[in-house]
Amino acid sequence: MPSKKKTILRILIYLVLAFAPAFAIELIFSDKQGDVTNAFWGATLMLYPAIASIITRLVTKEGFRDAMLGFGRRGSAKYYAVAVLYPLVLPFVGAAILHLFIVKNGSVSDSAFGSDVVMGFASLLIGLASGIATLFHGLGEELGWRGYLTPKLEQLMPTPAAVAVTGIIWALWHGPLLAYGYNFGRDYDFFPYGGFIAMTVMCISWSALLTWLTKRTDSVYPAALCHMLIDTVAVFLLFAYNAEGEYFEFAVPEFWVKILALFPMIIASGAVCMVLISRKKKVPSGT
Amino acid sequence: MTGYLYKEFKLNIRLVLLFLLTYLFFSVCPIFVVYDSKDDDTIGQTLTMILGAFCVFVFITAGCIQSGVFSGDDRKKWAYFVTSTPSGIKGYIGAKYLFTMLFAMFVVTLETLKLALAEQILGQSSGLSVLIAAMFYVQLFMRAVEYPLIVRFGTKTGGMVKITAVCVIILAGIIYALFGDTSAFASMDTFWERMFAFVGDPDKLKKLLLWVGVCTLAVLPLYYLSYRISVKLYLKGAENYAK
Repeated sequence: MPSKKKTILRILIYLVLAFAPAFAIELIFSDKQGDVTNAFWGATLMLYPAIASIITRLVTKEGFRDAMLGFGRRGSAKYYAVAVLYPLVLPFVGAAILHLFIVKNGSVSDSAFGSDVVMGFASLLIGLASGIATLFHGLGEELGWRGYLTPKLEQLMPTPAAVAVTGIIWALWHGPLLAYGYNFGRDYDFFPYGGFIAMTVMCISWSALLTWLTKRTDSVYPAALCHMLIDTVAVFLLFAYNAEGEYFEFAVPEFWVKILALFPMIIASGAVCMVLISRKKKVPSGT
Repeated sequence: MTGYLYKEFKLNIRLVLLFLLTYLFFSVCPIFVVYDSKDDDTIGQTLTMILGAFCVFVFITAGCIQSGVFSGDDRKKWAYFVTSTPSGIKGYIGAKYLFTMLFAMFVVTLETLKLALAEQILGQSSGLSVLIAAMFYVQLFMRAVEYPLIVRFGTKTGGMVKITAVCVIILAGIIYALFGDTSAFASMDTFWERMFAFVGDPDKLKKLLLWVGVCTLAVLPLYYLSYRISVKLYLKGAENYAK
């Protein structure tokens, strides 16, 4: 195992390479609303963590032996299934919470999804299909965060701490976009700090889930698949709108809608995965 | 399995690099062809047509590389060696299928970046991302049909069987065109009118989108089934190898 000093140096090289191009694009091409104005550079954003990990491995001559590029050990199929099912279940759990506790003037059947189930399922299936087809973009992030950063941090600290630190770094990587309203908009108290906190909580929870998938399979592909499908199967909003395409009336400000509806499952799954990751494997006696 | 996958990358790297070089040419060309007439009012349609045509062309080229992953491996000694390795036939065939899938995903990424570049240069979206995803699944479907034939009959004979199958389908199409009901195509104006009416009908369009979703996702289990069939047929096919 390399010395602590070497590991820290490798992490630093990786972080500079992952952050520099992403921050440059997010700042230079910012539309000041949480998005980028340049379509091409915007489309490359997800690829930089992977590019950074590849360059770091080449520069530090670590090689790719521990890059988890194989498709997983025997029995990995169930983890691939979890990677697909989680993004499919998440919007529906969120929708249930949304319509049970948050929406004041309507029900699921009045929502854009409920009033047009055929179109809703078509969106779901097409999101799923395009998420699988664009897996390389998911791999762009996961090869860096789960495939490089977390294992390196584990050499310096316990696994749960490494997962949490990866989550925080991952959230900060979105920093310039968050500062302008990415994911959570701009119309809320404590802008943009509330968005930073929410993003950090979300990234730590997903970091736990994605690390669990990676560790159980010894492969980055399930995490990449899960990540990509979370991004593409975005049918939750179809439950937040009514059939006319207007937002329902909510019991809380808009910023809290996503947090209250989606975060319970995100945090719960993250906590469960954190416990599963932390559990030491029993070593059979006599070995 | 990782070793077999590495072998595939190592053996195909030159082809992939050649593909990338031609890709760079063919991806930049259409953007500048359209850029010349950027101020034209009908640019949206032209953009979609030209970029769409090049997108299909890129996937066909990538398909040619994928079809070649079995060439050079049809030797009896190699087949028996593969059988004796720990990963076995499953690992060997699995690596071919995974390489194909990863390569197809790589092409999707390249195409996505190309469309983003086109959008940036030309200032409008071509709306072809659905076509790219569809082409990805069409490509997987083609390989799912083709690979078991190659495994069972060898590269040459498998290729012949594939071409024969395509010819039979074309022949059937011609026979239908000669003797079947072609009233829908009698006048291209009415054909396009019907087509636009179909696309303009929200209910029909929704059902179409649902079926597109179902059919694209159905390709994945089919691809897996094709892999299992190829594994089963591999040794039978090896018996027919000339060397």
